[in-house]
Amino acid sequence: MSEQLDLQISAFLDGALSAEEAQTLELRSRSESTIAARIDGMRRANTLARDYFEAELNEPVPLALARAIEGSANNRQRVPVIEDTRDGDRSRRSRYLFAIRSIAASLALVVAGAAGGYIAASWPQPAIVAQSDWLSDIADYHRVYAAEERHLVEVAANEQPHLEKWLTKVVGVPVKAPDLTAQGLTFEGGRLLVAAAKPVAQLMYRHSDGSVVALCIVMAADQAFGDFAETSIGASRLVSWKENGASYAVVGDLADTTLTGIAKAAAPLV
Amino acid sequence: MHSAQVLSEFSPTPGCLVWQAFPTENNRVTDAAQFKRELIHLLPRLRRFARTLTRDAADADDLVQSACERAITRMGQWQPGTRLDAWVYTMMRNLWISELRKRKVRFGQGVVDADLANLPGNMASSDEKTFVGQVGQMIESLPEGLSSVLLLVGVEEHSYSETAEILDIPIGTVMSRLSRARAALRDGLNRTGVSALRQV
Repeated sequence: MSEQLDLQISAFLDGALSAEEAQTLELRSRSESTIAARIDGMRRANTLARDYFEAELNEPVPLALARAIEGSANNRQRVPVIEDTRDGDRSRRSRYLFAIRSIAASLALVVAGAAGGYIAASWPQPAIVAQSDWLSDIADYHRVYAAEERHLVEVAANEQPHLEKWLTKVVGVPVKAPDLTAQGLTFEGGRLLVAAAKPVAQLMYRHSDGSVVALCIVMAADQAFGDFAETSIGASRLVSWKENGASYAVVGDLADTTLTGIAKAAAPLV
Repeated sequence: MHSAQVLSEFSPTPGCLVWQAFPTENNRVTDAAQFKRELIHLLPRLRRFARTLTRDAADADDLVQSACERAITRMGQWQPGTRLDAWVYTMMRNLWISELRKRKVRFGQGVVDADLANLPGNMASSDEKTFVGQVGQMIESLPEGLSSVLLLVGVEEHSYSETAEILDIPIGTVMSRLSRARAALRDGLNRTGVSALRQV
């Protein structure tokens, strides 16, 4: 009986009942508080499930998984791959994936632990947030802007002196767009972002294949030095470091294996 | 000015340099690099769906990798304009069912059918301290088959019929699993009092 009722409520929440059925249910819920409570409870349950599943999207994707897909048959060199070698490659990749799996799992645990810490600290705020630092914000921005072609930047590369002066003033630390042509990157320009409630300079570059890499700069809370650290958030890969009172991050696609090299080339130039 | 050049050179328009670099058969999708990039962008979602199938993170990543490899070898069969995620999900479901069959033979591990399994009565666990821990625990301990439906319809807003197709089950089963998942979650939350906090 109650199972039948729940089936109806669930369909009601999806807008899948006929107008007549929906009206009948609404009328019943007005006179029977237990039915109203069942409906509210189910709606809330769905909202919580949504929060939980959405937070899962922010978990880091193992880089090896992205690499395995990037490097699987029909690879970028656009050379036909013979069946036999492909099978060989696959088992090698699988073993590789298995070997790094334990590392990935422990990394995931660290992140989950950090997320748990954050949530515990902000209790009883109900929001489910996986990572709230500036890196997760710029990863989000990257997802949005990297898809842009015409509106990639706010100020284009041909106004570089103006861009640098403006961003330096707003961000509060020197902002200089390094020349990364040796890394195969073309400077496109930049924009101002706000991440973790702080102004962030975002300088955009393109690889020759059109994919976008951003160098982000934000004022740090202290003068501490931080060495290059690679991480992934959703489908973005990030390499971050700290020096001279600023935090830096190079952001690109998860599949982009050149980011650490780019970061190391950019660091002495910024 | 430089950027415009780069874009026109590399934009994935049929007939341009990149596309001709691949042998095309009947105008199928043949730009593997572009296709792989789209798959990589989908990875967070593919992993999330895989976990609802396998209920094990390591199995889920293996499943995602196998499904992506299969998708790449069959990319010519994908119809541009249709949802790539749903297409890969379907492959994932097929691969997982055959993996389960293999395991059943190898280890005698059975698959509990979602509609025969009992709903979890007791949600007690070691990770009940946090709000997320509780909700996640409840979702993970739903009987097999329920959380996939909850994700597909309740979160990703696939229609009942799309979901039925992805999971290869009748629409009526989609609806009943969805209702059972939501009811189990609601009742679990009522028992623990978590839902009250949500209303703050």
